[in-house]
Amino acid sequence: MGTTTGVSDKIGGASAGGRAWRSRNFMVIWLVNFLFTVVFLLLMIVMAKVATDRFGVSPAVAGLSASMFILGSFAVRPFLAPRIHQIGQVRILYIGTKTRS
Amino acid sequence: MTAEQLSETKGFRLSSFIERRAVPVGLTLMLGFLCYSSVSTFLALYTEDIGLTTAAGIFFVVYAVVIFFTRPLVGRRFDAQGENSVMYAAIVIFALGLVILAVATRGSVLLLAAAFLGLGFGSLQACGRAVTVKVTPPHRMGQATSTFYTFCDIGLGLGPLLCGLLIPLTGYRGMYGIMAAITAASVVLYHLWHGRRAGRPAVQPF
Repeated sequence: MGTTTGVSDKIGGASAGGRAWRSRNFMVIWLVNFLFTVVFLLLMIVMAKVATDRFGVSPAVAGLSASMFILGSFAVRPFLAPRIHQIGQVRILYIGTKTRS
Repeated sequence: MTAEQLSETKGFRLSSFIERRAVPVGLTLMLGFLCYSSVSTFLALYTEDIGLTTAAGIFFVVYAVVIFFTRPLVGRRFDAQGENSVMYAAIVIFALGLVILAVATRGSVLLLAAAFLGLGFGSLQACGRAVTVKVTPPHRMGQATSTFYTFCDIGLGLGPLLCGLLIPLTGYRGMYGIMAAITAASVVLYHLWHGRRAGRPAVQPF
């Protein structure tokens, strides 16, 4: 991305020089993103089968149960986007993590 | 930031939520995610239906491994030769993967489909994100990211529902066939929305 426009300038990331990936902050962000993706994909893959096996619902309802997450996503994201820098990226990350677990 | 740029980030207009430069790629990826969600959501049920649960267990492992090894190469090609050198091929390979998935009767064929999907959709995802960054100035990056992921989530959210409605009508194989057709059609849409204007690798705006 060339210049850092994202998180690293806000929470004191590593300097340039091609070693940014070694910094502690980058590793933490990498890990957070990794774990979120693991949880999200597992839910996505298992949800329809669980809905069908356990509750005997039709494929349409099974699909709907997997896709319900977009409601929350739409309720929050458009209002958060213009305020990311106002509220603070790290704080939003904390709020999101608390809501999720 | 200039005063003009600042005024673009303030206020409660459509531009507060949507970055229009991210919309064309977002729409393309929306279709991609719509088709991919048919795989992620219904693969378990589909493979149970056709009796290939053993291969299904490592389906996403193959998918992830292929992404892991091809993405660096794809990224380098993207930087050197522009997005079109990657996007068209990625969408076509993705559609082929869905076709293979739709006709799979053996475990090895199912895993071949996983490899195609990893190469196709994996590249599509990464390059879509990169195009968004490329066409957006830094002060609109928040809205552009939001727009891009919102479109992706619309696809990922509507996909399972649409597929679920299709399955009683067409069966699993028919549903994957239709998803392959949608993916193939999105090549044309990508061309109209972004590809024909992209051309050579652009000079970075920042």
